[in-house]
Amino acid sequence: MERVATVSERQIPGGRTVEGDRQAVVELIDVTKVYPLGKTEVHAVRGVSFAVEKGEFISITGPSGSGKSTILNMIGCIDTPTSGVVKINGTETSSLKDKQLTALRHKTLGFIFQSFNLIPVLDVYENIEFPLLLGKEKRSKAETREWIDFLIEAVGLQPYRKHKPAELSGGQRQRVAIARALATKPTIVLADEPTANLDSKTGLSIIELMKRLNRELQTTFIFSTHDPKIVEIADHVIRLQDGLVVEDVRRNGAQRQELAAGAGAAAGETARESAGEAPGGPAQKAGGAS
Amino acid sequence: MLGVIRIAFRNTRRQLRRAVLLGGAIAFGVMVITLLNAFTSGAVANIKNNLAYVAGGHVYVIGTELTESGREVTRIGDDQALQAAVDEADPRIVSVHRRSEVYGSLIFRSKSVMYQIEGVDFAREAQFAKGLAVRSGSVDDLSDPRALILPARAAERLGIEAGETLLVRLQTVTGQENVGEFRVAAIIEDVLGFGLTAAYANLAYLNSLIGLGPSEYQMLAIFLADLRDIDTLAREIYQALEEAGTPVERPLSQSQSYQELEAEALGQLFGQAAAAIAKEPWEGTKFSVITLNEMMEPVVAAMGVLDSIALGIFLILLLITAVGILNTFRMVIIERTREIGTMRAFGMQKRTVRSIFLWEAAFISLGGGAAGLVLAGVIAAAVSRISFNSPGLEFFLDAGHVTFAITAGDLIGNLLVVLAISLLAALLPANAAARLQPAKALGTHF
Ligand SMILES: Nc1ncnc2c1ncn2[C@@H]1O[C@H](COP(=O)(O)OP(=O)(O)OP(=O)(O)O)[C@@H](O)[C@H]1O
Ligand SMILES: [Mg+2]
Repeated sequence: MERVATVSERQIPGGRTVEGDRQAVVELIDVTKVYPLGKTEVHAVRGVSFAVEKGEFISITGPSGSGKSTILNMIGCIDTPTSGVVKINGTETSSLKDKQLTALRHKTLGFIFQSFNLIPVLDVYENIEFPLLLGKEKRSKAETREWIDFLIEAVGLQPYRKHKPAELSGGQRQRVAIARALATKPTIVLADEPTANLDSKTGLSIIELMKRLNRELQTTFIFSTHDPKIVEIADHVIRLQDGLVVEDVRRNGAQRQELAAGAGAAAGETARESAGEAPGGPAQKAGGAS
Repeated sequence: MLGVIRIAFRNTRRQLRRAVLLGGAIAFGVMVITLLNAFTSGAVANIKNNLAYVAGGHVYVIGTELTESGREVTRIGDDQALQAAVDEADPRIVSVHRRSEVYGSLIFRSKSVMYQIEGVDFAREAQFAKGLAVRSGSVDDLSDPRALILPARAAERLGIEAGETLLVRLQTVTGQENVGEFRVAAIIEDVLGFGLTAAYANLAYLNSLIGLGPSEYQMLAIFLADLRDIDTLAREIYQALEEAGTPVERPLSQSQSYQELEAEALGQLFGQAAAAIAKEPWEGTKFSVITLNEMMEPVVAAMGVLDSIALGIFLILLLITAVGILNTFRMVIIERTREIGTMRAFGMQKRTVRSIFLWEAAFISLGGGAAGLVLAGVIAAAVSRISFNSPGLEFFLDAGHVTFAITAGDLIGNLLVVLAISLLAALLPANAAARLQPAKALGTHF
């Protein structure tokens, strides 16, 4: 698997802008999820198909109960579809056993949670380092340290290295969570309503941070949200309703432009840029097989 | 691995109150078992020492002869074979003592006490008398045949002082009544309680009173440098005697039941014929070799029972603790469900989740165990400082002090039992934690 090594390596201007170069890192084909509920069943996802390309900043939105979390769980390989295919990096997940799924998660995925879910006994540095301890990869101590320090700096938490989660604000905790999600240099970072427990201003700054890292590290971010203001920052929006995709829109133009402009842009600018620009790409209605 | 241990360790610290409660219960159990084990081993060692003191040796050879009328008397008339069998130059041997002994009534004025008198060849065992703790009088000159060394408590009961004379009513080896006169040369400190020590007289004089020849004796007692040599030395003496063609009793430890063993050992020690056991007639002196270990067997067995009871208490305490661990860990897992889900999402394998909880159980049990050992050590140190003066307990004590002794093997064994039970108790909830579905564990928002 390709790994992100340094920021600079990834900042190849225009390097990934050619349409044909893009590869699907996530592919859902006619995915359904049925939860048994007592004697009845809940059809949480009723046949959803979409693809996520490498380096996208994608928002899954829709009203409460529309299936956002369910879909993110299936992409995150922590839940399995009732039917249909979920492919992560080209690997079909339904054939994998728990052990392999766990390994796949470790290698390929990062998670950001609504309620941060930091490990309370570990400090900021250790929380970010935590996913690295789960793998078998051998890294030198210096290498690990340098990388974690880079992440801490990237999320702006240098003064809080030794703080325990309980000593941090919600926004700071979510910054730790973002850094943690990136620790293993995953291809995809999943975030289920990462801003829901934050005030709107902090929430926005969190999304901006995610966006910046998305551009700098070329990590694919998939996040769910209710907030229309946050949806606007995404360059790919999937709108759900009652377990079906009702809208699948790419705003590739915006993405291309930003990449071309260079990745040095501050997080604050990103928000302005994304929010200010109208969706440039052709809106495609994807109605997943019903 | 290190990360897992770190998390487990910090989790243990995070829920310190619970850990302390569980660890405290374990500490208590470990403390109890350690103290009881150490007490019984210490008591066994003390009993052994005291018994060796009372019996006057570690290995004993007793001679029995048949009189013309067919009566058994305890006597070593011809000790050539025995002398040859016991090589006094053997570096394992510290000292060899030839003894005659009689249980008689010491009479002074209107008072009398029953007491054991041992005949000692003071000239031959020059060191023996010097080793006694003299309270009054002197052991420097014991050339007077009637000289008697009397333990202080017996002297107090009789109201006798050094230099005064007393009478002893006793029986000869053939059962005739006899009376002898002794002069108290020295009064010595009791090492053990009244009746457990003996008075010492000149061997030849005592022999004359009990009907033995001047150079005869009844028992040869041997002290060894290392108690572990007891059995080997006894076997060697037995074999040497047997090879010399001397009549010799099979060692007690071979093919005899406990009761017989006990009866015979005690019977022979106290100079009575062990008539209960049928014997073929023999010529001359028939020897029997007895060891301290054989005499200790019933004691060791009794202490074993005590140890078993201690183990029972320990296991019950541990079982209660195990239930505590089980319930606590169940609760902890419910509390940490989301955390477990998070760790699983980031790629922690099931077995790693399980190992976190098992490590936590290990920390609690080993921490508690260590605390229990420290506590036991402190209590043992404190208790062994206390001087007990109760005559009933004396035989269990070392000069009035309780002794605690425990082997590293026992300590480690107990800790391993604690660890095993704790891990077993934690295994069920740990497995439940490992089996948690990550998505469910994370709740609706992951
Ligand atoms: N474990 C479950 N058992 C039964 N039903 C479930 C379960 N999880 C989700 N559902 C149902 O599936 C449907 C989709 O739920 P999901 O959590 O994916 O929605 P969502 O879009 O994330 O909603 P929200 O915005 O409130 O988080 C809902 O009707 C929900 O009640
Ligand atoms: Mg949801």
